Amino acid sequence: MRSATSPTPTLQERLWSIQARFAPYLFVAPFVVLFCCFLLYPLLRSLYLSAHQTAGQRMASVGLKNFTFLLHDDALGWAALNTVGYTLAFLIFQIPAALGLALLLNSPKVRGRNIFRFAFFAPHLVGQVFVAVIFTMLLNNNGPMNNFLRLFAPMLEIRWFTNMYMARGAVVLASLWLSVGFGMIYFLAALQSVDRELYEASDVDGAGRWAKFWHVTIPGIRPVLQFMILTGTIGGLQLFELPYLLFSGPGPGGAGLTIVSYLYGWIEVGELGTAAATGWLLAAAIIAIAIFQVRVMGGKRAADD
Amino acid sequence: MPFHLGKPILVMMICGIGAGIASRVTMQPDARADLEIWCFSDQNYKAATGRGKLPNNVALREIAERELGKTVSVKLVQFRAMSARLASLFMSNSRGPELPDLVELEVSGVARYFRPTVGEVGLLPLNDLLEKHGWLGKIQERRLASWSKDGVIFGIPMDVHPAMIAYDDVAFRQAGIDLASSKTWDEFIENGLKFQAYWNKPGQRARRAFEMADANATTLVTMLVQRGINVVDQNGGVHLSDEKTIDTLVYYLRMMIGPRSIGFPSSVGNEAFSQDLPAGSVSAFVAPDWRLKYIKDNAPGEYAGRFRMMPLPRWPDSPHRTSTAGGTSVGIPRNVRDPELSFRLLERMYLSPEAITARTGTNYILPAVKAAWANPKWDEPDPYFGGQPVRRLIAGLAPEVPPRYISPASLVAEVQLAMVLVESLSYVRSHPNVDEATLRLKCQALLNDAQERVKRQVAHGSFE
Repeated sequence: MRSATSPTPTLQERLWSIQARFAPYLFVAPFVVLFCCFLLYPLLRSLYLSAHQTAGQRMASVGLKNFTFLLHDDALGWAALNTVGYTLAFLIFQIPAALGLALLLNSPKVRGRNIFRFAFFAPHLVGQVFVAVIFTMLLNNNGPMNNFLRLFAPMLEIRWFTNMYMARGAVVLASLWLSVGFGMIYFLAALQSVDRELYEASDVDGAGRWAKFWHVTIPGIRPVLQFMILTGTIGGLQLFELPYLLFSGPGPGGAGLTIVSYLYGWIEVGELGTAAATGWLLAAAIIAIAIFQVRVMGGKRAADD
Repeated sequence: MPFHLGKPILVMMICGIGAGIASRVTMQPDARADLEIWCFSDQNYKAATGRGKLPNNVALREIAERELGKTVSVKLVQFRAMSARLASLFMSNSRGPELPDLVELEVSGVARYFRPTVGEVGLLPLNDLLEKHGWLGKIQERRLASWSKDGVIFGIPMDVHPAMIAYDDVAFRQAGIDLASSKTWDEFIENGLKFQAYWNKPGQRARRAFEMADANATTLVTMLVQRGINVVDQNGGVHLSDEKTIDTLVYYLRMMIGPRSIGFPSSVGNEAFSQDLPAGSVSAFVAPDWRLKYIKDNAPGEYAGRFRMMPLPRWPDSPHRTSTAGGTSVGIPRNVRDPELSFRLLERMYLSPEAITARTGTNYILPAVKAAWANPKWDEPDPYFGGQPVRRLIAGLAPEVPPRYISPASLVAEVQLAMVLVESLSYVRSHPNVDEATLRLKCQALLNDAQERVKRQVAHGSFE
């Protein structure tokens, strides 16, 4: 503490003052350094790359040529259509399935529900590579799934990996198996935080099951629902590993070609500039969709409130 | 004394610190050997290091160390990881000890290295070294095509991979068919149809004769290469819409769908042998030499002795009875410390008689060094293939193997070809009575579009 009789600060006071001024910067420095090295620099570098074409060590500036090429490329259009299709399929099937399971396993009437909860969540722990390997074996021409279906239809020939429509089904199926349990856990947590008194009040008002679900449960879990829709959309738009591993390429008729696998195709032929430009287009699309979703859902909430 | 963050955090911290200390204590010194090899093939790794049960239990590394007076280390790197690491090293113009002295290259991953101009490819041109050390002419010349750009050789092929047909002879004989008598594709189809007519009974799942991909262009490309067509040639010319390509595609479609259909797509991976073969989904396969080991390892035990091998049936306009699929080569990074020493290591590890014996002892892969084809051991009858001298049959076809050219454009073109195949199959399925002329026009239109797309993509990324 500074002495009233000596206006000149002591060395200790000066050191204290310096550390007080710089300590916050030191504390945030590790984060800032890591952020700059591993996020900001790669982002800026990829932006720079997107205006270039690369071949080995050489780079040539091409301005916006990569973007104009991409916007006119049929293959990217196809990949975008596929990606949007997969994203919609995930949202349409994953959210209701996860919510349904959560409602079921939230009920105290279900015996051994902790075992079921773990069983449904377990696929998420093993990751996409493992799931792809399992589904490759499961859905082969003469694999367990087709052999099971042949018990009912002996002449059945479902070609999960070579028919473009069934191939899409295989991706959705594998993805759901992987992600439904994950969504279920979130919904379970949300369901348990819904105020019990609201259910009791609705019982008093004579509300039926559907009315309670629609007017109490859904508003109660809305933040998690919004989160699941948002992360599901982003995850769907970034889909890559599953179709890539299931088909070892774009798949039958390009059924496995997503925007990220299209991007990876440019990396495989050594053209990093077009790959970076594809990445930026995807990022722009994700940001736009996310803002739109947040606005729509935020607007709905405001209207409800 | 209680830990203020709680017991779980304390336990995790103790575990973390313990693991850190343990890994530091047990860490091996990572001193780089004088020479380093990166390989992705487990078989080659075992041959190089003497691990695994190879016939003569030779460790090629030790022989090389003795002869060159240098220490040699061999690293097994997963193929995709190696591809990414090499591309990164080449792009950053790395030099010296960062680079391996020798590196194995796989045909499906090599295209990306060939994107720069010849003078800037990250691999060392090998023409002069091959000539200086007397190897030109001793290696199957056409196999060099896959590893070359504009006549400059960047990889020395380790294999030839002649494609043949492996078939269940017992099942065909039971139907009264000697499949090996099929000299042309037309005869092969006739025999396939007879086979199916014999085996297929109403109310049962159809038994099919021949494995043909309907979702990727693997089998189609093999047939095109046999006919002398590379979808992208050595000069970068795209041949997707050539007359022969259209012909082959139409022929292929007729083999898959309609009254002359004998083809069926098999399962992914080795389930083709372990599941589809016993289920009768397929009874004959296009089999490059590398695939024979997979048949032997995965087909159920009762198939031992039932298989036979035959050359591919001929096209009317091509002399080749074989094609090729897959391939591995060895390259030297351009900025390696001592190219001459690397090449001498390559000779000892990949081209010497000991190296070839060690690598081919447990499989059927024919080496690209022509002198090795004369090995009398290769005349021995193979009980798994009913006493056929399979290796001799493979070697007999090796001089005929057509060249296969690889470039970034060929990767793009093959993807487009696969898309055309799926679309045209879908067209034939929805128009079962389509006549030859209409089908041809449809295929031509699809291939023309695909050719334009390939040209656009190639033009977009062209540095030439």
